[in-house]
Amino acid sequence: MTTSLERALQERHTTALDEAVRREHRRHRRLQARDTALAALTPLLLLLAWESAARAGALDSRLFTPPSEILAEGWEMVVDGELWIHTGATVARLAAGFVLGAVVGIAVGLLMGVSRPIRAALGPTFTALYALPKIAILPLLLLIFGLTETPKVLSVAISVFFVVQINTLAGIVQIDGRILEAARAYRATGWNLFRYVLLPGATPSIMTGLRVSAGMAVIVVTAVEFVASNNGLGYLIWNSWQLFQPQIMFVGLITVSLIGALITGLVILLERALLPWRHASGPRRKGRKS
Amino acid sequence: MTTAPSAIPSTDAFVVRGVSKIFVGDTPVHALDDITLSLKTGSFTCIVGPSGCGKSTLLRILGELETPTVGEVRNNLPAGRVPRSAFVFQEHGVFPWFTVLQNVAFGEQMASVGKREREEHARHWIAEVGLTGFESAYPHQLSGGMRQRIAIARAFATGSPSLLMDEPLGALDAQTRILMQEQLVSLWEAERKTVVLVTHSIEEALLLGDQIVVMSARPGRIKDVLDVPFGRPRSVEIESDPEFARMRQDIWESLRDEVQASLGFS
Repeated sequence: MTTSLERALQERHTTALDEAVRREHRRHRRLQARDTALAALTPLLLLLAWESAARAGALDSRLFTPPSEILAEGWEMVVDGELWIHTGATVARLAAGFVLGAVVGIAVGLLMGVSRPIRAALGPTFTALYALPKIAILPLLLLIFGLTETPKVLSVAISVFFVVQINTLAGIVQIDGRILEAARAYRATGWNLFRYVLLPGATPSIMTGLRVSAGMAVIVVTAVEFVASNNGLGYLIWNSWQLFQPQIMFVGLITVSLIGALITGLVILLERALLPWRHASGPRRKGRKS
Repeated sequence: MTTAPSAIPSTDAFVVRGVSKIFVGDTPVHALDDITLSLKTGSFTCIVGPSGCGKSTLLRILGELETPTVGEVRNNLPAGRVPRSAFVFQEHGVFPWFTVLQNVAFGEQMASVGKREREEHARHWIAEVGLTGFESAYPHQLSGGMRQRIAIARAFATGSPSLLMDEPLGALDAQTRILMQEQLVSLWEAERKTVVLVTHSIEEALLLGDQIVVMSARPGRIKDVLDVPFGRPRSVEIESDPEFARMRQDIWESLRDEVQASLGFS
């Protein structure tokens, strides 16, 4: 009799516990859904306000083209191919400049990280050059290379190079001394030390450099196309100011921001693939990313 | 104090003669002063002393991570492709970017042991320290005690004839620490490697060691070398032995002055 009573109590306890866990799950999901909805709602409301204000005449629709007209203009430019030409030109410059700057930046940063003489020789000069606004050397590049693709790609590459090089070097220099000690104790030297300790240790910082420089590369390529190009999204935006075509300008602005978001997203994906040890989930704790 | 004989008997794994270490820098630090010591092959030696007395420096000199300023260290252990000494550090000695398996296999990987062979050894030692099932986990997913077991498994898996441990259990909570001490004793009793362990716990030294080296405050000198009389296998039960209490008292008496000196009391 007692055992059956105990069993009944035990069962009731288990059911209550299960119920509480389910409630907690539901609450968690409900909050997540609310966050997503709120995040989407803000821009939607802003666009709606813009549209109605422009239609009601509260906003000058010659300057602030209503979103519906921007969309229509964008679609037209997609259909007649104009948008593709400019987007293609910008993406090509971005991709070439970013890859070139990143590869050379990582290589030089790693070399400076492992070799003290190279660090001593290049460090101060690079630090000084880093402060120079990279866009300011565009005229010089134009003088040297003429109005070709080279100065545009190089402007992007140089901006990317400095950010990536500095982050790569910092990544190696900041590796925990105790980690290096353990590596030394197990006789990791030369290539082994580089491949299995220094490179993985520096990778998080390298990825930070890539993420920051991706945003900068978009800024630089747009600025370069403002002044020294007759195609590309920067040119499109600048030209539509001169021709007073704000709807085209808005299409250009939106496309540039989409490209920026896309590149940053790609770098984040790359980061997740390269750093599984950072993203593998540990035990979930309350208050973290809730 | 042990005086080193002129002809070194092959039973001594490490022979340290007249070793001093001074770190030069803005303020030179006299870490070790005239250390003379010999450690038998297959013995378990614990070094106790006040903080900053150069215990870790002595350990690092034994493991060739540091060179003595003057004096001589002879290592009579066989040199093969694996290092003669494997280290266990207090914390942060495991690589966060490697899985448990890769971490434990690291020593043999650096010694160019084939992948299959080193992973087989690693799995064996992962099982020995009770981490089976966590082979592909990353260190940050595990608790501090489990991370420390990775470091211990790595040292054993490397297959070096000696193990040098720098406060390997220092960062663990009291209960985990007792379990790990027992585990360490039984692992060592099965393998009989030459072990040197730096600790600040007298109880730990008595539980684990064959001999205890007591060091003075900086500059570190050898104050006492005591033989631990307890037989093997050992477990925490020896703590209830009256001899244990007596030795703990003796060592503490000997250490107290040094700890006071290191704190700047007179």
